[in-house]
Amino acid sequence: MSEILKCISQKPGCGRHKANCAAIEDLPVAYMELDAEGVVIYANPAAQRMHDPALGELIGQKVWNLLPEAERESSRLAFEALMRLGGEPPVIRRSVYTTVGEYRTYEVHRNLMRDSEGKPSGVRTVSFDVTEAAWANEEAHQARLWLESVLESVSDAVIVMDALGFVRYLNPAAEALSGWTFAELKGMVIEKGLPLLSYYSADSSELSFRIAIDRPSNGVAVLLDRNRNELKAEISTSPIVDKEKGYTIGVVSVLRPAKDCTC
Amino acid sequence: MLLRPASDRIKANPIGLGAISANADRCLTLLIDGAALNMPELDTESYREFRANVSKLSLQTPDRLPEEEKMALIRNVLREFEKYRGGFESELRERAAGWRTLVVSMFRELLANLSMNPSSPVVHPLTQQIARMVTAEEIEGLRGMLEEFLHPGGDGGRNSRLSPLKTADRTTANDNAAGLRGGGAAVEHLARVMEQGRHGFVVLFQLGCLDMICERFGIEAVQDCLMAVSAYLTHTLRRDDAIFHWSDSTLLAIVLDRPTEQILTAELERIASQNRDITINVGGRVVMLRIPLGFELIPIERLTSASDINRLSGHRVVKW
Repeated sequence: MSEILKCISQKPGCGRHKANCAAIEDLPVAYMELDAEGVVIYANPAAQRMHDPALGELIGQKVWNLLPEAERESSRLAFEALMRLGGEPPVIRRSVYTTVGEYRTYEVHRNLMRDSEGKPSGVRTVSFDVTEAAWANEEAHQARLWLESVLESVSDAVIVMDALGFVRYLNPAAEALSGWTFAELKGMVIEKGLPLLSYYSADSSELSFRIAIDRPSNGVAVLLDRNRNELKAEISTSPIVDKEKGYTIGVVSVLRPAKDCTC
Repeated sequence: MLLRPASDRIKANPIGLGAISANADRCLTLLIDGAALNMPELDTESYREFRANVSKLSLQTPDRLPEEEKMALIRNVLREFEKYRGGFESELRERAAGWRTLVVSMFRELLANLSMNPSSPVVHPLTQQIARMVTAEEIEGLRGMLEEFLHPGGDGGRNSRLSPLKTADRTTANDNAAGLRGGGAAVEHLARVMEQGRHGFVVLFQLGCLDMICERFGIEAVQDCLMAVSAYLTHTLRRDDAIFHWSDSTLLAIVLDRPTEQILTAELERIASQNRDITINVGGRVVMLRIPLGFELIPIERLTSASDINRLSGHRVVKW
């Protein structure tokens, strides 16, 4: 039986101060105790509220039965290993079906309970609902992956610079065209990496980073690639404007090898 | 008045070992002339006089001179050499002392310009060392000590001084780009803090990429950035912390009553990492820049006087 339950029910044997047990009962986050077999032996009211009664009584359940099918076996094996080997259990994330009718993600902080010989006799857990944070993190990761994949799939060379002209990104087509790898060119001032020898545009305008950050431009440029060979390319540059604040935050250039021209 | 290398004079003169005749008396004459030739010339006047005297004596060594007269003559020659050497050495000592005095007074002038106390425990040994130095090794050692003292950051600082943006500000006015009081006011403020015996830190904030901003957008953009960073620091540090304009790329803060250096470091790291969204206006377009903001801490307890912070050039931040 859980020490907390013993304590609350005034039975002798509780090693804790009664006030501590009462505080655990009042915790706004879920607190549970599991025995060495992974059976829930105590759940405070917050944990009880999390649990859907349709899944049966929480006390007495094997904890991995509360998890989605895909996570059960790996969770059980990890728990058994923890009981066998001891050691400080790491923070984990688990999906649990809750009373709101959906699986939510919990960050579970644990420590071991030990018997009089110091052997692991169970686990105490405190769980925090991190569903929204996990979801936002995953969304951001996926959005970033998506945009990177899009840029990497563009057949034209794309080079992105920050507002000071330091290279922040180039796609594989730009690597192939310039001879630079992303790792090499990242953080380099664009004029150093790809010096501009000459530029021609239909409206006879010039091209410099200062101009590129100010307005879009299209033309044909002669640049020097990584091996300092001349590279003739059609080039389009445009300021990158932050959608929310309207600030200019950099410049994007798109290059493709020029067809024969008289520039 | 420079020492002329003896070898040059030997080359210019036809006298050489090959010219020594078998005649012993003639040989003696040549030996005296040769020895005189090899004496270093400290100043033209005394050297010319010495050469004339020795030449006169050497001409008095005609063939078949009786042996005792020959010895007397040689003694006269030796006395002439001794006299010249004595004068030479005392002149040399006098000149070295004169140079040392000049260096000390120039060093004191430099300290005064840097508002540093010449009697501070850091400075005083240097002045003493200058007054003592005699050997080439001592001079070389002093040169190293001075270099370390004046440019504690090493060579990196020397190169960065070429930047047009690194002008040190030791004024007390607030008419600079940051709108903050200058480094002179920082020294005054620190002196008051030290008098009160308060604990705290001097923090140098170094703004990065300003050279690039200046190159891209002009000095006005740099000034905008400095203004923005100073406003940001004023907003994020505590009210009783004081911030000053230290140079065109460095701000200096005197922060007080932090429990530990570690806690202050964490606070400053947080401030530096959140230094975002600095915007400048370029031809009507608002451009957002992220300016790297580095910092270094110096506990006030480690300073012997408020003017010691003048050693922090702002070109390269010193680790204490």
